[in-house]
Amino acid sequence: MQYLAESNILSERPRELALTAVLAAGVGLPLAIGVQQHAGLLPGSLLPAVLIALIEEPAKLLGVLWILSQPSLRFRMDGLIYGAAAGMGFAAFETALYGLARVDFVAALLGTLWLRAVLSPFSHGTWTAIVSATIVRQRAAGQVHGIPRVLAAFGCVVVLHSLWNWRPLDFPLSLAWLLLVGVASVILLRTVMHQASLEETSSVLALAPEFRNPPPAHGETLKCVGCGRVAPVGVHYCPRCGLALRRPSAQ
Amino acid sequence: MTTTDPLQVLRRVTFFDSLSADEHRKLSALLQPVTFKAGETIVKEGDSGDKWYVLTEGMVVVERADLIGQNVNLAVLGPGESFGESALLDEQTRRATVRSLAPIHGLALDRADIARAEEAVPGISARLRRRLDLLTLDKTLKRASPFARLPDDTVWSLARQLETLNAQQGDVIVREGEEADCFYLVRSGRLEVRRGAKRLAVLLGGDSFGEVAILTGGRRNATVQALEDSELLFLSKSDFEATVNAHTGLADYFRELVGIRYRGAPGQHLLLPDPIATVMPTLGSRRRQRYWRTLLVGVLVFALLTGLAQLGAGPAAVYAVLAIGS
Repeated sequence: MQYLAESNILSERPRELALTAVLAAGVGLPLAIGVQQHAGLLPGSLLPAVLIALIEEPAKLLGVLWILSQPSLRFRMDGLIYGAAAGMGFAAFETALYGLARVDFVAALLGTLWLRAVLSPFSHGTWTAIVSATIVRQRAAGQVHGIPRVLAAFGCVVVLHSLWNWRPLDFPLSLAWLLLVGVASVILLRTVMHQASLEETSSVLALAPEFRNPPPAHGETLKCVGCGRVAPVGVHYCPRCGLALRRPSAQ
Repeated sequence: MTTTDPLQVLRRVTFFDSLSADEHRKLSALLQPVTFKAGETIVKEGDSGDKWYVLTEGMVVVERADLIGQNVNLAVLGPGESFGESALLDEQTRRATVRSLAPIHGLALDRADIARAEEAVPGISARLRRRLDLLTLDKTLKRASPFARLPDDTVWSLARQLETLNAQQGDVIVREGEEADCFYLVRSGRLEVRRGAKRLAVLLGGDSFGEVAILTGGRRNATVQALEDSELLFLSKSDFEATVNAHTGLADYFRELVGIRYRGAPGQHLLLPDPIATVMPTLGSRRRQRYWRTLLVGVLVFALLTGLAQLGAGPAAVYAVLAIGS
């Protein structure tokens, strides 16, 4: 998540990222666990693996739905970053619950924590980032017409998540299986991220060509009066909402 | 222009082209020679001013802080050009800083002599006023508008095309659903942008509106109403289109702005779903076809594995399917 945020040319609000993670963990996780327990689903075989993916992926998205009310978060890159925050928040709390379930067996507890800590960046954070990026991108193009593309991205992610949950092989080959699915997920994320970065740079340069130049030595960090977000130093129009930036004292 | 003879100087100043020889002579009698060193601040923004200057030798730069507090070079002036017109008219506070780039020789008309200048050249105050208005517009465009990065002569030409609209609090400037005929730039004041009852934005000096309907060929998609007395500049639809079409950077700027403001509006192109294009939009069509094939094989393998799992097949069968798939 930090890597994604630092790759972004525009800044995000750390408090909003934390809120997104907490929302996904606090709202999405209990909901997902509740439904899974009610249905008696356990990962391992294929059908439950698919069903769990179909439950967890929308549940994590609950953490990023608030973005839809923020027109200034209009870039695919925003979707990636906030999606990763939601996915990682969900994964962190899920890992904690897994750990608590094995608290009587220290070796099992440590093994679970280690394994999930290492693997989680390849899974929940990545998948939610991909879907969330597509939602934000398609919202910018018109909410209704973007639905098929959002569903397509969601479908890809559910397939990856299902393959991740599925255990067709025994240990240690199961680790190779996870690694394979994880690498596929990360390659997908990198591709989306590359496109997101190109799009964002092109948009920012159209509204604020000064961004091409190094920031002025005595430039001031300004907050847009329209969207309330911090703009890069030296630009004259907010890259997020397009309104003119001004010092508080400017006429 | 190296002479310091006021009469010779005045004859070469474009602004005084239309004066008669007698008017040139009378006006020149009121001008006082002035000199400044290189790098000297001749006029400082915010200071009170009482002189208008005509350059006979040397160059000056006119600067003013823009909305974000950066100094903008509004103009570089040379022999035959003038600055400080506002000091002769109703304003005594300088609106910009003027620094000499080289040793300066020039002529100055004192504010106290404007009445005598009017006697010598009837109508000179009105002509200065018109010039000042144009210069002020030019400065506004260069320091607080999307046109700031256009070439100087284009901005000057725009300043001549723009007209001023003084809106009073509560005035509706454009109404949702109307035909579009003008593009607007906010010079001062506050205006609200509304779609239906929902407030979309509040516009201040340096902001613009009206471009969406012109560039998309539709009707106004929002209402703009003055929240307080405001000064606007407007440009006809044809002049705006011509300016935007002539400058790529400006076209990019307005295209992006339209993208922000036109979101979700009807009439947008409906794209068919393409999961590969969705998640890997940078891929070329040939590579995309290859990925499509891979995806289809993947789905087939996935379906086969699902079936085998349901039938209770062992790891050997899974390996076999994966090998065939790969």
